[in-house]
Amino acid sequence: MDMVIRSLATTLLALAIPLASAQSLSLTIGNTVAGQTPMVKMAQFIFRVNGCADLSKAKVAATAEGIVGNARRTIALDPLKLQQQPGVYAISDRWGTDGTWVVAITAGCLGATAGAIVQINARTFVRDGTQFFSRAPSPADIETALKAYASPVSVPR
Amino acid sequence: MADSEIAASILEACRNGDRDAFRALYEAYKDKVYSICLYFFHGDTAEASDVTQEVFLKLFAGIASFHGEAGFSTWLYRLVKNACLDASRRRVARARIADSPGMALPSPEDDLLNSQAAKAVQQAVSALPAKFRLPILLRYFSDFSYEEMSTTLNCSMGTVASRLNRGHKMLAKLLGGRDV
Amino acid sequence: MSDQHLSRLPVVKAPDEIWNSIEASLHTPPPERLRPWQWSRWAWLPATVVLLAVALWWFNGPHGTRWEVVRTTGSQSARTETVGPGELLQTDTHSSAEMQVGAIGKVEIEPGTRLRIIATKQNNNRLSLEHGEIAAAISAPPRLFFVETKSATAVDLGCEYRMKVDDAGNGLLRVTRGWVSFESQGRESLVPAGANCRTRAGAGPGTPFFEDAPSVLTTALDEFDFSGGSETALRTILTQARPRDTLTLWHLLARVPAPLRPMVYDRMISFAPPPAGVTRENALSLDPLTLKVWKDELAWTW
Repeated sequence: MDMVIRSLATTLLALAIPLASAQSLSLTIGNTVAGQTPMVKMAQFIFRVNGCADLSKAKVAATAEGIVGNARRTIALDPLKLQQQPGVYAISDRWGTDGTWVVAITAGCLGATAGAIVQINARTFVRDGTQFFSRAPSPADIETALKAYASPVSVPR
Repeated sequence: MADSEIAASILEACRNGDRDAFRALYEAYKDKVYSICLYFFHGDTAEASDVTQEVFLKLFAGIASFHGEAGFSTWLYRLVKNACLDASRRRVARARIADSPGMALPSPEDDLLNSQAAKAVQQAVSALPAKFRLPILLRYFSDFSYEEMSTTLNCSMGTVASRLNRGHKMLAKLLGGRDV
Repeated sequence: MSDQHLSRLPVVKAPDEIWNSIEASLHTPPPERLRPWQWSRWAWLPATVVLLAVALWWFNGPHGTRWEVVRTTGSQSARTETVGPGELLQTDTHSSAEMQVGAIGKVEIEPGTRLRIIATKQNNNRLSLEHGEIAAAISAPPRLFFVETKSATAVDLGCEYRMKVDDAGNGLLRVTRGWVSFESQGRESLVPAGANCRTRAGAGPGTPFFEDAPSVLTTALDEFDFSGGSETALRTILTQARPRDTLTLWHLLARVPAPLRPMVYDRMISFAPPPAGVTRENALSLDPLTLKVWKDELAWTW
């Protein structure tokens, strides 16, 4: 019986290690003040790739996904890599002030993937409206988020 | 872009501090400058962005002293050359294959960069020593004559010809194993 | 040959962020230089007059310019004027104005506002808000644009914000993009996007708080900042704090009496363990490097 339990534990442990590695990649979304550089002061927000053993191998991609009027729009974004903070990128507004928008981010590193959908407002982002994934956000995730957040983008007064 | 395309009025307006003229100048040259930097630094977008910014800041700071002794493009690309070489001296030398800026969500640039041929050329250019890489990129993106290249690179036309020739031979070898 | 190969290298579009950074880094356009023919115009004047003209050019040129103002009354605009150092700009209850701050940004002036231009120089664009409300949007390197009030000075670190003050100098700063340092007599509050900071005459800037912080917290914070700093108020703040309110708590760590610091520290680490390099001992002794390292990591939750 002990031997059965021991071999079961060993098997489970052997399975857990690659699972842990595969799930260790994650994203953190932050206020531009965390960028510590004036270069990002006008950015909408910044994000950080966590858990990547070799950041030179990290790949990131982002799109702005929105509904403007009744039209569905997608804009490819070019995350700006911060030299002073490896693994940190800035996202700037390229979508304008009309409509409802989210930013979908995908990060990859050494076979692991992480994603996020960030709800944005007129100037920054809504932290409570950010969702994280251990994969790339799917089109269905994006559509669900847009429907949930569909409210006019307004400038805080 | 040929000098004739940059109106003298824009340069004069820049000398007078016209911010809109700065922007027009920047828009006219930014993509080529960025491309040269990007390929020079092996596809490192951050490095290319930093050096591009540095080039234009130096251009704006020094434009009052530009009186047209050489063509404007020649002067600009000399700034590019110096900034690229300065930056590469400052940083640890490393060979880096270009990272595609996108991953699962391709952009038009990704479609081009991801094509096998483009990637092979990029890698071959990256493999060139800096003194051959820079003339090759300047020649291709700026379309300079040998005379303009010699002014930009501050060397004789013979040296320009020699470096281009050797750079092209190296590229051809890397890309197909055949001499020119 | 190689040109065929090189033709496969596409021209890559430069990221938009590069221009944003260039614009941010540009101080002013190159100064105008007097050309020889301009000097010859003044050649017949006495040297002292020439020197005076140069001094006036120096003052009104890159070291002291006039800012353009467009006034709007009701639905009608646009009376245009300029203001310079030492001059007053005032709007009544029916009018507003928009002022260009040199080449680095603009200030919207709400109805019922009075402000004075202090300086319009390359490295010192400064105004004094005497009462009313303004909204500033500045794209410049940090510490080039300043808004003084009777109780504190907002030092622009590159951003957009609103500031409202009354005649006594009591007011509220609201940052909507970037971040602002709100300073007075050595007391500094870092106010990032989405956060506010009150200021009171005689006390200076208060402790920053996020706009969506619980009202119970902000009321207790007002009491702590401006009514004697009671332990009861502090305990309320700590109880009501959410993870992102570590913005407030980080500032409070250096503002509470030493015996109360452990309480603040313990609440902060209840949200997340401190990063490597931050020890309890160093944090409680307010070691500057420790506090900076901690702030840099906490900022990711703000």
